Amino acid sequence: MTRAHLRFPSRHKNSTMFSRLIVCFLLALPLLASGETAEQQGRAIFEEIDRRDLGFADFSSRQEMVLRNQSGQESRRVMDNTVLEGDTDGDKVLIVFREPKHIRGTALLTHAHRVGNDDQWLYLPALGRVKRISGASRAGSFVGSEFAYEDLSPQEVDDYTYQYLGDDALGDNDCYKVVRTPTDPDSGYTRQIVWVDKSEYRIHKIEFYDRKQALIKVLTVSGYKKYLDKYWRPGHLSMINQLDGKMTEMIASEYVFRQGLSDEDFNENSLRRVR
Amino acid sequence: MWAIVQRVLVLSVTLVCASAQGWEFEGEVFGQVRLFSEAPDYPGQASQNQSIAVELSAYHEFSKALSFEFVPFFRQDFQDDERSHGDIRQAYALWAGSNVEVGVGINKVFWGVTEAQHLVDIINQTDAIEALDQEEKLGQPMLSLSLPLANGLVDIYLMPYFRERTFAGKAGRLRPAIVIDTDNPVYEHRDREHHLDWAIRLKQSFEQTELALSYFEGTGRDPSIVRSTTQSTTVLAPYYPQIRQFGFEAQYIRNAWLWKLETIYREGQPNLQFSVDNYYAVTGGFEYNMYAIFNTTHDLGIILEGIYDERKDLALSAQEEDIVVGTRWTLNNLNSTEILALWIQDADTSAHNLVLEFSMHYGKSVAITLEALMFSGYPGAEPFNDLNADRLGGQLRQDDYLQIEVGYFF
Repeated sequence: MTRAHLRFPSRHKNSTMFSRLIVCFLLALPLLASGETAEQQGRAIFEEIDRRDLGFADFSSRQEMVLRNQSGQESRRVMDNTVLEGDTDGDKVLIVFREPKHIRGTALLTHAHRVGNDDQWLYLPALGRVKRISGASRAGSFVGSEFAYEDLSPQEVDDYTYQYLGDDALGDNDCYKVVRTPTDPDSGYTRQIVWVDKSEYRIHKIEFYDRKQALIKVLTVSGYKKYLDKYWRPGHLSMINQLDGKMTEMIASEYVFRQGLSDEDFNENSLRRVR
Repeated sequence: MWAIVQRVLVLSVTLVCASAQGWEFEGEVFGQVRLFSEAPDYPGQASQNQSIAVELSAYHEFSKALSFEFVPFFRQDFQDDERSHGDIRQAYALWAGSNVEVGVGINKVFWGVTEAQHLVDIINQTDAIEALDQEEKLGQPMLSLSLPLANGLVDIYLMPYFRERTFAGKAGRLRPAIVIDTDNPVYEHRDREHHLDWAIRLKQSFEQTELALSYFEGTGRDPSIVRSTTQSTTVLAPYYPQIRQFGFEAQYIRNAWLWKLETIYREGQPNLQFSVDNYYAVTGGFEYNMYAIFNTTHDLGIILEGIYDERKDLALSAQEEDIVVGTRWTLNNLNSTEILALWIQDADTSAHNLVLEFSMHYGKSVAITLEALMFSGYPGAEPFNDLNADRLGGQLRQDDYLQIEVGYFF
């Protein structure tokens, strides 16, 4: 519990008309009008994250994961990731594996939905087969990494309910701290605490709590760069398992925006000709 | 065939050399050993088997819409001459327009949804000498056309050249008692392997349901076996009839459940007693997946499928009335270890197979797989002139094996 969080209720309790006005003025940041509940405040922060990312159309990047176990052994996964922005429904994501080489060319297509389970297809190049995957894979480990599928899948505002906890400084970043609860019963988490910086609405840290309410993983996000003068994307993500010390580092690079992709590049048929 | 192979090779190599820039080259080399636990049943068979296989790939994009891929394959087997074989898996130019996709050349196409067997899948011939799972295929020369529909797809294929199924030779294991004479195939049609085959498949998705209808007309990929006896020897020759096959696939997804069905109706295929017997066959069941089980990173998938072939004892395969139970265990560790177990149980005899597969990778370029296959409870194969489907399987009952394969990918 941060000091910032404790300060809020007391301020309201003791406020005179005048000080209340000042408080209102200080809090006249667009999202935190004093009449809002913590739920509304939390949700508003994530609506703002969503709003600021609108209009990217499509982008791709290369992602390199380094998986490290307790004894320091490492293994690498490399993949190309392409995202198509959804207009009426969720985003579409295509992941093509490059390493380890025995699965190169294997591709995972996800159609995220704002409501209900995502649709997923796997392309297996050795067989030339597109295989449907059942929708409950969210909590599963992504190719052996500390990232679960749900950590990497497109995030929709309605995927969670929110509660604003207060403000917290994280390094040089003045952050909002929000707890969010997944609405999907198949999620592997009961809640996540998220640090979002106030200036650019970028996520810097997430604490993941499992079904037993134990802190199981901590994600740290850094190396943000701005693309097209508007869209922030991270260069480095580090997910550390708090129970067994295993960790996965992810380096994201080669971001390319607006290649003019469309739905036709994200269907079962295009999956068959993925390279 | 060789003339066509040569022409494709020359054309492909010319294409590759003409513009070596912008080509992507990849390849993989496999060393494989099969150890058989029991003495061979038939004269000439070896007690173990070693081989090396190579698959290369050259890919080029001439433009965003036009690409070409060339994939030659070769296996050198140190015991079985028949298993030493090469194939062009792909030599295929694809033009992908906005509303149509046209492909020409040698390619590989998969149809179907079930796991236990691939009933509907008919475009490519099975490279049966590679593996028993029907999943290794020979390259098929074709002209193909794909037209997208709203939530669906129509695929049309013209196939001007037929590929014969591969079979083990005299020294090879996993073969019938009498070696199949692949040098003298018999065709129903006088155009033999040059008959023009065609196929169409219509696929539609509706929310959680996916359906596909298909039709194939031409030279059947599954050979019926013709038996001819001279004074001293019996010869088994593959017979490729003209067939018509209607196929239907359905898949229904609900949470962790995937329900699957494949069914075919085939006309023109002679049965085990070599009389033409139109028949239907079905494979269906479910797959259920559990992720991050028992608070670990492990995933566990379960499949249960039933197989039914109306011809029963006169079917051309031992999998004619079977129940298949399987599980895939994914450890999600650094080496991507996976373990697959399959139990294939004949419904009315004690015959069953157990398949165990273990796979992992080492570093970025090496993959290791172990595969064990056991045959149990099969009836004896003899006398050979009175075979039934189960006794077909009985011909392999001495062929339990452990296969170790190491692949290097570059």
